Amino acid sequence: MHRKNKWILLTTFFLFFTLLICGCWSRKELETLAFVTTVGIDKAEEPGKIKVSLQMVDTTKIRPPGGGGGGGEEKPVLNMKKTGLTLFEAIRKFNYESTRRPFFPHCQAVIYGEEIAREGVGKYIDFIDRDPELRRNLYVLVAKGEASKILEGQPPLEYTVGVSINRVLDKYSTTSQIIPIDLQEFIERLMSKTTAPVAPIVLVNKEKNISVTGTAVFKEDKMVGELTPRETRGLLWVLNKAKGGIIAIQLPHANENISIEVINSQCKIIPEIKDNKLKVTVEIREEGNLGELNSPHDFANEKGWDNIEKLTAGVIHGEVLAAFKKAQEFNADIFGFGEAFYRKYPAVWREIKDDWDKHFANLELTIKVESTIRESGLVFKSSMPR
Amino acid sequence: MKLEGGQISTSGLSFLLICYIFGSTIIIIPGREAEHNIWLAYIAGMTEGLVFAFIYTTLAQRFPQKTLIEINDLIYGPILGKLISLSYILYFLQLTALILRDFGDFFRGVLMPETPLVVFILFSALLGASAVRNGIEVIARCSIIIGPLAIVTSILVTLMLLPQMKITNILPIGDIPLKDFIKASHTVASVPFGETIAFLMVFAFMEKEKVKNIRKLTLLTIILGSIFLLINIFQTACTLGKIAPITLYPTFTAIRLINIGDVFTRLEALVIFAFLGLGFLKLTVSYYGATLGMAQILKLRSYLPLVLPLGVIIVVTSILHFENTIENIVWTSDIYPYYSIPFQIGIPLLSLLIAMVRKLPKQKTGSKQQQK
Repeated sequence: MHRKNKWILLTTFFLFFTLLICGCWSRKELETLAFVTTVGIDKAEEPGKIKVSLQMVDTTKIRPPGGGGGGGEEKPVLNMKKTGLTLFEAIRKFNYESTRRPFFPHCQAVIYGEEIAREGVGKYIDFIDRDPELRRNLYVLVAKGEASKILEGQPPLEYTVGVSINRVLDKYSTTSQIIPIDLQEFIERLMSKTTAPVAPIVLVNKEKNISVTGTAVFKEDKMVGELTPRETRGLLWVLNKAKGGIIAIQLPHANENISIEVINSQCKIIPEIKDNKLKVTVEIREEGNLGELNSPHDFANEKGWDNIEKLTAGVIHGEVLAAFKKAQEFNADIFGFGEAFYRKYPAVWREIKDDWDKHFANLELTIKVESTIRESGLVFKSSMPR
Repeated sequence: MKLEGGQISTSGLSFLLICYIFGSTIIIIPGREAEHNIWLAYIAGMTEGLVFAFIYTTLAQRFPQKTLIEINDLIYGPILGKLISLSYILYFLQLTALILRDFGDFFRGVLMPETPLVVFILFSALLGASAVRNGIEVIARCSIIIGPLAIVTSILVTLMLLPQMKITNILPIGDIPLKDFIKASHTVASVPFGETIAFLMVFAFMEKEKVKNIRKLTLLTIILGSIFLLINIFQTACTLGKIAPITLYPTFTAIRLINIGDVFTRLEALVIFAFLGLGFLKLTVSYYGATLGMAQILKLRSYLPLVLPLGVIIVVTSILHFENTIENIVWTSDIYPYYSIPFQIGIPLLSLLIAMVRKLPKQKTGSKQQQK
């Protein structure tokens, strides 16, 4: 009898404990959550306040895309806007209207409106950094105009703006003219005393589709300017991130051009201090394939091939130079040259780091490009008539 | 009278020591003043820790099969020895409370913010109490299972983070003011390494023939454990770069970045399991040290009745010790390294010197036997 009692007691005991294992206190039931995919932050009409827009997905209404043809299907996304003094306060205000609690672990992108980017994003980034629900690999972008308008865009092939942005930025290397910046990198650049933060610019085009073009350049936490797609690629060459893209080259003769498909590229940044002047040498090695040859000339010989490679190198050189000039115009070290000097000359760095602005403006940049074209597809001569 | 009948094997002791060092450092990495030179601080801290270990393992070898309490009795005499032992008991109790607090703070801050702290601490303490009641041999055997699992997890995670690691985050090497570096290394030496002083309660239960290997075994194990810890530190410093000094839980934050082929994402659970297992072992060892020590001071026949009451004291201390997480972090990095100096190095060094001068322990024939 004693053993039987012991077993009953133990079983009850353990059953009781299994109740506690499920973490009931902080439970989150699926039907009470609104999965936020995108956060947009804008200036509110009241001074000093911000307007936060969230795009939330109702998971019970998701159906396969393109499956149910037409027929007034309800969109599973919901956009809401709220105003507040701080980001956290505005987010909690959503609970006045939304029946579900905004849930952030699947948030794919945070978009800052252009106005608030120009005023400074420093006050509106700590929450994203600190809160455990938001992840560090979400993308940070700047909207052309207002961020809330971006959330109203209707990307045709995806459900939500956030997913659309995520997928576009994931494939950045198809053009290498947009730069994917996740929260981790943005904050690292923000914390660095010399490197300038950058973020891709997103806008809604006439067909209501979401488009990512160009880059916003910040000085400390305020946006000071933009880079065109060409200059963005110049930046990517130096950051060792240009692993794809098409270089279209106009040949001297009219109506003739070439496309080179970039396959890979490497870049070495070599800082030097000579005669008290700061110099940086950037060595880029690019590998590509001949993608399109719209010229009747025969390039399938050594001289012709070298010519193509030189032309490609020339284009790359131009892009990097254009990016550098823009950066000097904004006086923003987007390339991370300051950090390169710190790594190589830590002793000297301690003296010059406070005047980095001046030194960056007077920095001498030498660009060396080496381009190799490897494959040429299925044909080696163009079929264009002479 | 034997308070503890179990015997620990060499592998048990090794794994227990490795788990103890890995323990809470896998979550909260002390020594963040060193910024990107944190790995250098760890190497320096490990060296300092090896010095501590040398001292107390020599003491352990001199007094084979005696715990810290008995050693104190022999060296300082019955009254002073008991006083010193009592302060050590208090230190071990506080140590256990701190480990529990780290547990609770982590789970509460990161995973389940609405749950009160006491829930995590209470249940971890209950688990620890059940382990302590089973004895040191069982605890050592647990570590033989949990240890390799945690090590493998940690190495797996490092491999998965390779795409995100940038060696440039570690450069330049050695660019740090000496004062900061010394402070960081000493913090590292005191938090994971100096706390191994609790093992002076454990060495007594090694098999008799293995006693003369204690010192070599411990030193080698500490080096081995530090290598795994260093891999972890490197991984965190390379991945997080500048952000590492401002994050509360660097390993956790780094693991959130793992994204392999869009399939292996959100792997935080791995580090949480590792922390659970290792933290549990660390708290069990210091809990055991406190309980056994108290039983020896009071000359009880068994330490079992003390387990739960001391558990209550530990849980309450854990909650009352700090008001918030920041106090925890600041206390551990600013005050604890200096507060622990007497316990980790001061008194053991003094004991060793006195033992050498007085040529203790006296040999069996015609000697004072103070042991009861």
